Amino acid sequence: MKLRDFILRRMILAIPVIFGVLVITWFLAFQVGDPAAMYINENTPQSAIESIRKAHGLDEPPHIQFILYLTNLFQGNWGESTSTSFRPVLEVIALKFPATIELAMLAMFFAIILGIPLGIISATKKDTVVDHFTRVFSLAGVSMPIFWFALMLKYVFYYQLAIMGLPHLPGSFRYDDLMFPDFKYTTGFLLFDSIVFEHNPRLFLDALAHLAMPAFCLGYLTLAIITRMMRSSMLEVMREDYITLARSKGLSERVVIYKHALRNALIPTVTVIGLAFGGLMTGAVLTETIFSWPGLGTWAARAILNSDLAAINGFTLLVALIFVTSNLIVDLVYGTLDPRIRYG
Amino acid sequence: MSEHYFDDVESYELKGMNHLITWLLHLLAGLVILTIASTILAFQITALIAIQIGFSITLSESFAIGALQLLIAVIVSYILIKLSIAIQSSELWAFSTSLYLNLLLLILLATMGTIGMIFIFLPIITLISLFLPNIREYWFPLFKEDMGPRIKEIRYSLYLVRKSPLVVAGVIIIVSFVVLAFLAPFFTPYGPEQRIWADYNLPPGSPSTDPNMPIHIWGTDDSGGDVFSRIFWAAQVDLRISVTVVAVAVTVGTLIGAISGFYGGKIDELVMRITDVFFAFPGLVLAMAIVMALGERSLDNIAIALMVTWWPGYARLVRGQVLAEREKLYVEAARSIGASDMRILLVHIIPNTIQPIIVSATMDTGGVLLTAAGLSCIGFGPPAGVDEWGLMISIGQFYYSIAPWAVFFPGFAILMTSLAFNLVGDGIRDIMDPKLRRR
Repeated sequence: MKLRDFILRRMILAIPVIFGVLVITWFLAFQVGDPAAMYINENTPQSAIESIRKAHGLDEPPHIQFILYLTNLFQGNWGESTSTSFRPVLEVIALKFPATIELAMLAMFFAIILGIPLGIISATKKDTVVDHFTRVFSLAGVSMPIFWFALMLKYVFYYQLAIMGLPHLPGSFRYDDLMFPDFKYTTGFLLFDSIVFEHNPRLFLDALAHLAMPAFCLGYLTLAIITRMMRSSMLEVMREDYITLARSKGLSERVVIYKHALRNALIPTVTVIGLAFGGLMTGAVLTETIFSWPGLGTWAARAILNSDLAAINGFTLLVALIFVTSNLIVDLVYGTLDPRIRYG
Repeated sequence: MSEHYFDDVESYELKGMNHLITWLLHLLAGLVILTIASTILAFQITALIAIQIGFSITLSESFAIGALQLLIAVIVSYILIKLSIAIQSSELWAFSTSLYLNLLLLILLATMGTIGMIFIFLPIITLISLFLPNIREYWFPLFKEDMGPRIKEIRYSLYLVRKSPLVVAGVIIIVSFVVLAFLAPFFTPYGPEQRIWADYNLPPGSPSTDPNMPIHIWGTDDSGGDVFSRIFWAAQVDLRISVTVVAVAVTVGTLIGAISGFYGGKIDELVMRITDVFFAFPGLVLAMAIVMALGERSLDNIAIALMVTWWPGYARLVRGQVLAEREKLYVEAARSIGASDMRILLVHIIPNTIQPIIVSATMDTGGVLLTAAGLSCIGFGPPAGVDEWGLMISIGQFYYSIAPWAVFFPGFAILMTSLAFNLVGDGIRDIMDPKLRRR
């Protein structure tokens, strides 16, 4: 009962935030360019331009257009993405969303799997060579220009290995469509589709190979953030009295670290993991552009460059929704991890 | 001829007058030269400051302006020396009315220049005069007593900085990048927009096809630009952008956050909802949209977009700090002796919350650099040919298989600069943290 109230309250509080995001993006996007330009070429007669404007409601003043957009939004019509061959925005999102989420999930998985142990090792072996190495490694992750890192990875693992005739990682796209010409997306998550619907382990491996570089590249920043957070919260926790107590009871160092310290140190790390999901969305724009990944990031960047208003609005709305949801999930996980926290 | 002129007038008084006039005019000429020289100096300094604060003029251009002013000074002083010689030898043209009217005008301008110069140098003169031995004794013991603990803390901080190798490394990298960026006109072999189209995509260390030009230390890009030179020309632009963006964001964010935290109530609610909205965006996408909405893809627009996206972080940070400080006893004490809200906020609260702001501003300088470079890398930056690290990568990525050096070096420069800022920020946090400070 209490939990449900908490979730409801958070959802109601999210409404003004989402509305604010919509207002800002819509009026910014309105300044970006003329949306009618995409419907027009040099042969379009003047009268047709007028009727195109009228048909899409572009002859109205901006605030009326905004209200029109909102009403359409609530009816499930997010407009049509002019830069993606005039397909409805929701359809394009449904097509591209799995690609980005799959990438982000794998990046996150990789970051968590590597980041938490690194942070623990770094904290338990403070001021040793391992610790210094980990600190520089994670600082490098925070200050790494993703687009450059992606290009360098591509140069080494794709181009150089390919030149030498060695097995190499593919440099772009989600799967090799020459090897698998018959493949059709079912859910859009390739790793899932290939096993469950296609029963094709070779496709699975191919998709994994395609994912490897972008996911590593995208996950490096998150990995760095998680490692740093884990290290500092671990150090904080190790100074607490209950750790001294646990040690004085004669518990082994293993039990002290993994049972007493780790559980408490995980709480701030979980928050960071949740918030880093937003960072992944930002990083996705850069990574996907370099790796020609057919996901939301590439789509959004191209939409802005082509003044594709509906796509810009749709993308930011989607990302804002993801943000709000992930924040809510973080708060819920927080509660289960730390029973002292009450929802209120 | 002039001798004859005065020979005709044989009166003693006139000769005395003549001597007086000559002497006065000599004095005048000297004064004029001095004032004009000082005016030019003052103008030069103001211009330098204005140029460094303002945007789009590089340092080399301001040096060119300085050279022009120097030339004018030389010409004017040459004329004045000629004039004084002419007066000495009593030549007729030296006594024309229009000449002196013009000189009068010059004196007027020069006086204005001098006043301007005094305004500029007043702080420096005050500072120097404060340290004169007979003035120093009035304030220094008091100051020493007052500042003693603070100076001790600063000394201790510097000691801690010296002891941590990572911070020292970061500071060295930042300082050397700044110095190299400023000295770019003097040591880079090629100019900022100089291209030798014949040597495109040359590997590092190869000589130019033009026998008169120096070798390309780090190779060339697709248009025959020298990568080494371009990187250091670009350093000026990139460092300036990241520092200005962070400075503006910190100032705006701190003020808004402090006011919101201090007064609370409806203002606080409004500001926090606005920052919530900004936090629900990915910053890069918002910045992209702002750049496009501003109409022109350029570095200045990227800077503006980043300023807009960066302030909410500081507003939140400062608000939290101010909320914690507001209830403390020293604020109560300040209020009880009748300090105004503004005074309490600016003099008492903000200095006590400055530490996390400094840390996050240092680290954000690297972040802004990354984001600005990222924006110009995916096509929201200036047109090709401008020296900017992100843009160099953006153009270089099409040739990354045949000319990887055109991508590697600018990216490495970004990585190094950003890493240095992060190292310093990280180190400062450990040094300034009272929990970790003394142990």
